[in-house]
Amino acid sequence: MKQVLVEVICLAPEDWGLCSVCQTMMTQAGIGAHSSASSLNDLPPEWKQKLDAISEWIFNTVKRYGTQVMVRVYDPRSLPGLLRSLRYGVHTYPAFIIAGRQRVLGLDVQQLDAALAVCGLQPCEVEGTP
Amino acid sequence: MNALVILLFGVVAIAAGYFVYAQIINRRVIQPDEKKATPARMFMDGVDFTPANRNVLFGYQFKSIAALGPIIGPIVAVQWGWLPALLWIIFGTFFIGWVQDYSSIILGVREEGQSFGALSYRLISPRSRSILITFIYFYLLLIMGAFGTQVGFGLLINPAVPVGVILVILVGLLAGQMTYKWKVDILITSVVTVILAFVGIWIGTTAGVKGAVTGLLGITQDLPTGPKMFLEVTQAKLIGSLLVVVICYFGSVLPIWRWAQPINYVAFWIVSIGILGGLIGLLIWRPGMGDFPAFTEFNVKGLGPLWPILFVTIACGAISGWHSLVSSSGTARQLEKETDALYVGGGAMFFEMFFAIMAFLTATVAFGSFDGYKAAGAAAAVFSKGLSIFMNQWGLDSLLGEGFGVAYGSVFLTLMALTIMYLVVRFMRVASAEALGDQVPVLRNSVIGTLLALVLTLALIWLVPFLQIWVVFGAANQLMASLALLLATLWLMSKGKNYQWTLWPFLFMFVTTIGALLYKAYEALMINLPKTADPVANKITNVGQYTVAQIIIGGVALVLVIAAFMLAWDAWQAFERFRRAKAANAETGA
Repeated sequence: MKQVLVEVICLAPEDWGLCSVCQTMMTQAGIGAHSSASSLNDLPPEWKQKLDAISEWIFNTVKRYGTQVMVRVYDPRSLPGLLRSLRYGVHTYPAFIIAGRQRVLGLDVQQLDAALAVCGLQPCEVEGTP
Repeated sequence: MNALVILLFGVVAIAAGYFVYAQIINRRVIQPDEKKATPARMFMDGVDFTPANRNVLFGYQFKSIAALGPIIGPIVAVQWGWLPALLWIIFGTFFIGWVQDYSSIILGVREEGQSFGALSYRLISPRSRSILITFIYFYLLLIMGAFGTQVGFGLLINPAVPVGVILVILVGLLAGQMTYKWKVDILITSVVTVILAFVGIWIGTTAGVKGAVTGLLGITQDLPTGPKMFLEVTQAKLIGSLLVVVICYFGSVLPIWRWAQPINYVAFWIVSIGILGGLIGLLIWRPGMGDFPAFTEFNVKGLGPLWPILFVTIACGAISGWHSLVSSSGTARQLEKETDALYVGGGAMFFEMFFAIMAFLTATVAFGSFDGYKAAGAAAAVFSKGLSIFMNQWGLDSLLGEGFGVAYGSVFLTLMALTIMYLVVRFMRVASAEALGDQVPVLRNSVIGTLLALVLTLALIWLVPFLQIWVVFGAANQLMASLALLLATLWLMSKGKNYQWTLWPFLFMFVTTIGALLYKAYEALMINLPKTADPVANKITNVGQYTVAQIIIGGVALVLVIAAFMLAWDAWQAFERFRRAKAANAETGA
């Protein structure tokens, strides 16, 4: 069965801003609190909740459909994210593009599940495998 | 020689390096397996370990490796003449640069995404991890000193620049407000803020604003950097360096979404548009080298002998230890397939080489002569003026006013440096809290930790001359490269694979770096320091400052040499260990 690509276009927290210098230093030196977590906690509360919800949906989807689905996250402030926003005419985030055809704006779980079902995805019987 | 010939030479080197040499190593030695699970797929946690598309990862890798290094290094190094600098950029990348970046990614991928600290601990010795951490602290401070001097003493003393930088930062803050608070569409936010950023740079170049800033900096025709305040710091340099510190302070203590992220986003567009504009101008103009000499002299005053100093003066753009840190931790943990490693690691390094050649051309062809290059000022000023000369070929100044190009180039470079610097301060603040927080609890306070990092930075900027900081910074960087190549060699040996392609680059980099550090320590402590006995004859205006500067540079160079020898000793023992194990295995097999 062909893998279905789900492109998620949403603002993503950058670990230490757009530059990875400090994050890398932290990792290599083995010091400092988890920088990504710290960056996430810095966000305004409503953004943090939104990102937590998107993250949860992505992990649940991967768990549910295993290798039938491939999820990619794009920040619209990056060049690939910006190009996708233009290509799919997306102006509000998060936006979910399923198999390059169906567009779901906002995190509407029912609508997303329906869109995945249209692609013929079946929940896994055993976790992680189709 | 014509600039287009040099660009063509670079393209041919990239093609031969990437499509021939690198592919041979990739296929015959590493033999990546598309189906083999990478750490990103094995340990996917959505944070550190996340599989990423190879094009996205290429962008991440390039963004992380290309900062001020590939710009400043080539511009400084052409003082030996254009030929040695160009040859090192091309052959350094061809034989060593991509080798290090690619092998670091492969090492990270095949060793389950372990950090260099952990790998050094396992492959070399337990104490090598502590040496690595010590090195990283020195390295960060040298980054702050080198970039801080260029920005605070070089770029911000141009009266057309400070207001432009401040306005672009304010526009960046507006971008954060529009995105996170007003929830405006990103496309609209991008267009509005990029246009406003250009307006901000233009406002800085208007006569009224420039006049006011000139007065503030105390600049006159006779005193182009203003009156001296203390040590060798003039009024303009004091204001420039304090502006750097204030910007870094906010970048360190404010939430990422409020300061670093939106400012970096606006800066990304300013930088990208500038590079594109410069390249278009260069292609239209197609200038030659003029009287720029292919070779000047072996021993350049202020820098030192061509070997070993040239090879640490150009680090990024030929080979840089920093890349190995990015490759082994960040990139290796996000690689979706092993087969993407060469495209991401090798490809980004060859692309950076092209970036370094662009910087090289701003120094060698933009001013029409060697004297023109020397008169252009500090390395950062050479780049901003050179870039503006390229952009003026399609009429930037005639469109937006005389002097806009230089101001734009300066804001471009200032933002490139600052976006790294305030994040480095952020790291230094967290690191000091963790390393010394138990002994000195006050360091746990983020304001105190930030101030400590900034005071150390200011001391380095005010006390030590730029060229001395830059060469030691380059040497520290190359020492890291030696370690990365050493780890790759030991790893290849432990796996019974051909290791000649990493061993020889390691030996060259190690011997060269040690040579450079020993020379700099010798120069500072044995040549420069005794000059204080006769300050008048040696034109030393401030004996105290001069003495402290030489002790700092000599001391840092010696610490790095000692760290390198300790690592080399441990590595030699590890090398012998692997050899004995191999021999024992062969005997058992027999």
